[in-house]
Amino acid sequence: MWLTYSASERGLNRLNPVAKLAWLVATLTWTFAFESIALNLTVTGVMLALAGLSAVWSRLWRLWLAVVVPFGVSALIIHSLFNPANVTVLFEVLGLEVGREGALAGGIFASRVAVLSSSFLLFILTTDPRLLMNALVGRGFSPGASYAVLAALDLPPELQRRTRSIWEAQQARGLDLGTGILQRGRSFVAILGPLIGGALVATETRTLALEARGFSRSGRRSFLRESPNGPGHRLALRVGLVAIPLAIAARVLVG
Amino acid sequence: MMESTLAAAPGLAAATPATTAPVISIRGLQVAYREGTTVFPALNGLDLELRPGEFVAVTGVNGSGKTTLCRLLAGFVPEHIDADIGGTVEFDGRPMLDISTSDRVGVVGYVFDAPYDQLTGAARTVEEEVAFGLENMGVDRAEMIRRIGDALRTVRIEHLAERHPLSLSGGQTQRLALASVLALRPSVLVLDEPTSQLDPLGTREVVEAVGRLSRTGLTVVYVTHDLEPVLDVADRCIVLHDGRITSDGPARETIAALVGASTDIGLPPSVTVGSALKAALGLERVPLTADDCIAALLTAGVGELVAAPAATSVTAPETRPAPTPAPASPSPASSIRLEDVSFAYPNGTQALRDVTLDIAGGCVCFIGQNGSGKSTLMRHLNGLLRPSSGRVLAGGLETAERPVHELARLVAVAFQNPDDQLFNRTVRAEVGYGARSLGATGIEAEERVEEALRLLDLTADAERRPLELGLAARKRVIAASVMAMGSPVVVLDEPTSAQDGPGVAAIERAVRHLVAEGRTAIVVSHDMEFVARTAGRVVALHDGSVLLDGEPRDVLSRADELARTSVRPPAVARIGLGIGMAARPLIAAELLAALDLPAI
Repeated sequence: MWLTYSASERGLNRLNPVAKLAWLVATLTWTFAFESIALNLTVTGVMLALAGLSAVWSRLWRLWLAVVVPFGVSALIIHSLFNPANVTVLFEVLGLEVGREGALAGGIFASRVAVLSSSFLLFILTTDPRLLMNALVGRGFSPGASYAVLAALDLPPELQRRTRSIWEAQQARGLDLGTGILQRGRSFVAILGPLIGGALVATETRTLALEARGFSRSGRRSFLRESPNGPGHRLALRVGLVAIPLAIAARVLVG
Repeated sequence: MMESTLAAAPGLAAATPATTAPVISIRGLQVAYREGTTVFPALNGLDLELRPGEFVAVTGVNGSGKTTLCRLLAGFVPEHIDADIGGTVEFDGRPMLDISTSDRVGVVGYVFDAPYDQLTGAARTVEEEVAFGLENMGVDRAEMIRRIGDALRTVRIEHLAERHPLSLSGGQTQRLALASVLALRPSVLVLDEPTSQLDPLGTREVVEAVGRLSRTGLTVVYVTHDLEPVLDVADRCIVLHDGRITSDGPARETIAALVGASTDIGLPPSVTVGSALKAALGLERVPLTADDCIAALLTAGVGELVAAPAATSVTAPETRPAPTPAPASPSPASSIRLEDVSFAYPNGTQALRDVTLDIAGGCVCFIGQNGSGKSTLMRHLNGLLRPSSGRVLAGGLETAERPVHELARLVAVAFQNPDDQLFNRTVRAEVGYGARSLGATGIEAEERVEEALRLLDLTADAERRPLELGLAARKRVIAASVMAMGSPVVVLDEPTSAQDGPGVAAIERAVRHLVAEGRTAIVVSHDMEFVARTAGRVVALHDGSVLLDGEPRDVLSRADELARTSVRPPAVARIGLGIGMAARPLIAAELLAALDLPAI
């Protein structure tokens, strides 16, 4: 389960989850408010440093190498070579002109992907979903909406587990991914069908199980574990919340 | 302990005599589901009163209305599952249908049959899972911690408190679900086949825990196909058929009265034996459990009984054939060989240790506690897992060198959860899927499909959508599917769980058919009665190693060694051991014959 939270007391793991959520939103707002590669790379550097401090670096960099770096590099190359806005030629590679405008656009895009992925992954890997849900409910969010956030955070490993089970079970009945497109299409149906069908069966039971444990009950709720909420955490939350409109205001003012 | 805290909890009185006012009162209950213009009646004029502290076992064939009754008590019907309802249902004198599901929390607790699906998905630890309901109820944190501890101790999983719920075995998860409900301290506990995934001793532990709670005032509604574990603890037994109560009364008398009745309910063999003993010994009551039978036989004096003339009025419905031996000359393709196989998961858990086995033909049953390595071993047979050391040969081919889909021609596996495999539009198409995947076409393939449908009682459902069927039928669909593949080795993982009497009989029929065809049937099972009737060889695993391996009569008689892997010998074997019989009978007919009692 490489894309899930695992308990730790290091770095950002200790920060109040709602404060962390506010900082995540603030970071993304600043990133998309300004088209600055330097800013984005700086923020990415900070995120990676925080990942190191929070002891999640070893899991984060694998994802980065596997998904983010190839995606970012591809975007940079495609923009540099084929962006219609390209006017200024920087240099030529194998007879292809690398455009300055495209390279800038590709750089902004790639650096935003870097910020988005690093901050989001950092949030997922350092945030206990249950504490986040408790903290949101404690601040007046509806339990249903909070549960949806938690379920979304837990979805990737759950899907991964189910897909692996289905894949194994169907192979045991002779399913072969094969080489042809038709064969792959059939295999896809044999995996996707049980994934959806099984999810529907499971969802019905889970819905009833949640109801049987008072999920829809109104009234006061209590929590087995509460998020840290000292003065430092409250200050972090306030700073994060202020930073969001500040970014929007700065964008409007600076243009 | 949980009992004392429950007894002190509001709403729970101490054990109450039967004259106490009912906690739930049902009059003329009718429930019908609607699909378009078609109406499917589920309960049809049900009258029922449940009193505080009663342990009520509810049984009946699949489709008799058991689950609908449970879901109505919990409020799921009609609040979450649409249905037409007639009649009255009252809780403590209040109309129950006026109480919403969420307001029933703390009144009616519900444990489902599917262990994983009932997890909240909102917990990182077992403790958090149990806390979920308490948090929703706003229970004070100190009280919450106390209740969590009590509930986990009651179901004996306190040592798993910090584990992730998804890392637990099916049996452990079921106990966690029970703990989560017990922590809410309901007045009525509804359990819908709660132990279908547990090993035999795990089942007993859960039943005994629930039994203890019922003696403190908790009303228990326990739905089951397997009456054996509840014989000692149930106060009352209700039999449902076609949405009606056909029998209702004190558990012992009601179950005893089912012997010889034309019903599809699978009665425990000890009841069959007890019924014969009652007639032969002139007992006032039927000895229902193995212990009762042993006591009756020892009191009567076994030697005297064997010498006594047979009572002609006794009927014993145990007419199933003897265990299935391996054929004299199995085909080489149906052979499996494991040579010093060890396997460790990436997290370091050593799941198999130096397992060496030769399997060739017949029905081989693997038994052992939850987590003993059975499922890991099965995954080695078709190459889903590769040994850390040693090697596995299927039909003479080393599995580590072949892709799984290719090995499926030699070893077909039906996993425990049918919903991991079902996706076709009809049952017939689903049953034929495996054969089609292997390239089988034509009349022979079609005949195999039809045969599998027939053997597993699915012909009438052949054109229905698989997901419309109940869990038991869905499991049979997957069993039929792997049968129809024609692979020389067929592995069935817990095929009898959730099956009623006819369902178990269908599985047995299918296994015998496989063996008769010269194929190897490998069955993983916690159902010792099924193993006793069907296996030609039994392998007991414990902690990843082979604990016992041999003929069923030998393996299933070693009570002390089996106890190490949480398995109890089948009831008849226990009776034989209890009275010191040398013959080591496994099924009721054998025991009765050995005692010179007629078995018809």
